[in-house]
Amino acid sequence: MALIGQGALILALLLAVYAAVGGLFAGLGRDRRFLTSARNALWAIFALVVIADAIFLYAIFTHDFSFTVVADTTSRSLPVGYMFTAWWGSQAGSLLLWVTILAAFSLLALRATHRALGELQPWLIMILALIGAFFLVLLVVPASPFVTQLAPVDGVGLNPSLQNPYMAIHPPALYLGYVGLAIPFALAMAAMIAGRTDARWLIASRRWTLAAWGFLGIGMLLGSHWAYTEVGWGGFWAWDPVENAALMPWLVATAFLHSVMVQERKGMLKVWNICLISGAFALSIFGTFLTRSGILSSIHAFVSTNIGWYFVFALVAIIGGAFVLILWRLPLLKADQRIESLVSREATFLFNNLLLVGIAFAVLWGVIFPLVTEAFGSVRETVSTPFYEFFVIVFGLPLILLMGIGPLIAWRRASLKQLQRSFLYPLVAGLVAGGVMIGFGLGSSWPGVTALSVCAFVTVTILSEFVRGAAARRSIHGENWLLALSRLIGRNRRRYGGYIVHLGVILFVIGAVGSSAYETQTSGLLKPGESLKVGSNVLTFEGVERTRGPNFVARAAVLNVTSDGSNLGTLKPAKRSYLREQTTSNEVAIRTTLTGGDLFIILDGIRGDGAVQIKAFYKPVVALLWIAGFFFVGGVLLCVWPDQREARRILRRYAEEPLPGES
Amino acid sequence: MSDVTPATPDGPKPGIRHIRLVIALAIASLLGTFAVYTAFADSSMPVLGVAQASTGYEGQKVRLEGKVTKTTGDAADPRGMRFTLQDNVHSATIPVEYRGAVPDAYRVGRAIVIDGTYENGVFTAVPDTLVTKCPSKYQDKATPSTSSDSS
Repeated sequence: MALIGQGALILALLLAVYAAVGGLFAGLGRDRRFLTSARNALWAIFALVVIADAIFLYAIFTHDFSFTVVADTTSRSLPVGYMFTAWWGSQAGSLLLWVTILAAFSLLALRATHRALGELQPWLIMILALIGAFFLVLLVVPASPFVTQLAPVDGVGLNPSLQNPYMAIHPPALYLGYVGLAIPFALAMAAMIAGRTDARWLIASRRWTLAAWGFLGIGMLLGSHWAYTEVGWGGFWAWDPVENAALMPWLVATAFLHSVMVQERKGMLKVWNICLISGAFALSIFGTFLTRSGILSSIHAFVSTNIGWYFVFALVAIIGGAFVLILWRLPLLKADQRIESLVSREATFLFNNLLLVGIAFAVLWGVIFPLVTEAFGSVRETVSTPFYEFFVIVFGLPLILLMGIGPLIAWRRASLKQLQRSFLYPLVAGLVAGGVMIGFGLGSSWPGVTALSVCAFVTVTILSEFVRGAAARRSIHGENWLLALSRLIGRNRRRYGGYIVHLGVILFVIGAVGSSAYETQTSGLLKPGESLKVGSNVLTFEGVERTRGPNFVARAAVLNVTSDGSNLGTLKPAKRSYLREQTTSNEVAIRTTLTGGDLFIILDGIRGDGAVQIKAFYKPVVALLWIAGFFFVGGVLLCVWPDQREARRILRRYAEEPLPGES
Repeated sequence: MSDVTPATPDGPKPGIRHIRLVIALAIASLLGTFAVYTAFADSSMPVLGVAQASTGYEGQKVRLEGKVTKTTGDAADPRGMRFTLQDNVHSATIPVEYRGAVPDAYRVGRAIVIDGTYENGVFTAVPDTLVTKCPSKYQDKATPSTSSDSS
């Protein structure tokens, strides 16, 4: 079985090289037979990778511990539900998942673009096949999932931190995001090689970028929720290199999604857009590298083998290749127009881009800081949370402000009168919100009050857009509010989907600021019958309870919770001991209140005399972090949902627009 | 705008120059914030092996890397936990005092990272900074799982 799997991967690698060469010949000679052959090779690669997947999963589900990877990441006592998560619990397995997603996406991308962007197909195949070949080399040489050994009776088991429902969906979501960015990158490179540097590749790649960006975003949010409920230190983001690995491409892709609108509308920022998408893809490869090479100390880098140099090669190839192509095609990438005023939509997009890239750069600098200091100094140095938080606040606050300003400013040039009309109410809302917060005693955190006032300002600008649009429909078409609103959104999905995502971001910021700036924390050693107060809640320790799960035993502290005299029930923070894996895991207890705050309890230790060490937090409005996820997903879905009207409009534009060099 | 010189026939209009200046200033202020913060905020700390910690870094806050060789006490107890950390390469060891959260994967033999200060022969750790590095059990090919290891 292992031999067949390894053989399938080797054959897939050879076919990837063949497809790349076929794409090159088809592109140079415009011979359709090469193109057909190269496309068929991509289909064959997909089939071979699926065979490899099937063999790998069969080995996992049948406990075939002669597969080294299977023995290292699963055991007989591992619940069936988590066997799937073992697929991406290992380095080789996760790289196999990467290639599988890439093979499927490549076929979808070819299918989606073959009519409108037929001339790009050979180059698209070449770039995608090269990316595929790189990952197949990794799977064949340094990280094969099909290495065998003398089968032990049982496997080592899966890291208990990964035995959580979120781990079944968080890593695949991130991988869909990382891999998804390969498609717009490949389209950009193909467009440059073919000399088709107009906005067509951009329009064709928009949904891909949005989907990849959406997956990265939701993957990070799920990861945060996992960290919050499972890792259990009381936070949701630790600025761990592997968390940052997903954040960096997401930030750069966010910048790209905004700046493409400037290129589509005004024909500006062409070089910048290619730099952004190349940067986003390079960062997604860098992210995979950080996760999988174990180069930086991180709780997430479960495995460390020597695949680092392969990734360094890939990064140099991506950045170097994009740089050379941009230089080559520079004459075709000249802007059609220039920014005429600093008070214009395009200028706000530009500043938004600068800030987003600024944050991404700060995060990147933080991540590589230990490597840089080690390379150029005698000792390795590292930066921690305050460094990242400083830049997120200093660059992030104006960014959020721009989120409110941008949509209300006209393209080209805005008048003072228009600004007054658009911003009067939002400005008043922001100031009133700040005043109310101080009045309610929340003035203890000035960054908190500032951020939340800015959030109020932005919320009112976004909502006023919905109200204004619906009111216009009402007066023109005589529709009722509900119908006017739904038609308004339905006919401008991209715009209003974007606003819904913005609302999600605002909710996230309120959740993050509220839960950190106004958190209450306490800890104490409790004997049975003793109490601890956190916020308005009183926790009374009743005793230790022992339970047994499928592959663990647990000891829980039973805590009775009362608030203002009323009994709210019991909470049971626990420590689980995984028998086969010989490790323990903390299970935090969380109670969400009606106002969206969380009572969050960690069992830090159980003493021999039955006393327990408890750490308890009250985190206001933290539930907004997770509610924001629904807005994010809803907004992204609205933006990517197929829109026949838009497709027709684009096809008309394709037909009308001159190709570069023809104008 | 009066300070902007008139454009040459081929050059950009004065308004566009003005815009370019503001954009350049915006980029410069981003980079400036970055440079000033990294230079003056004292935001970084050295990452040291056990063997380095006692040589010239006494009294300075550092991040220490090493392997746990002996551990006593309870980090959740007010008296705290004491353990010995050994250099990942050399045989040097250092006693560590720690209070706060202990990660699930912590135990003797595991590689950890911890922040704190070395003074008078003891490394006093900052509470809640103990992080275990990649659990060797999931990666160490030198000690493969064996059939007898079922306890």
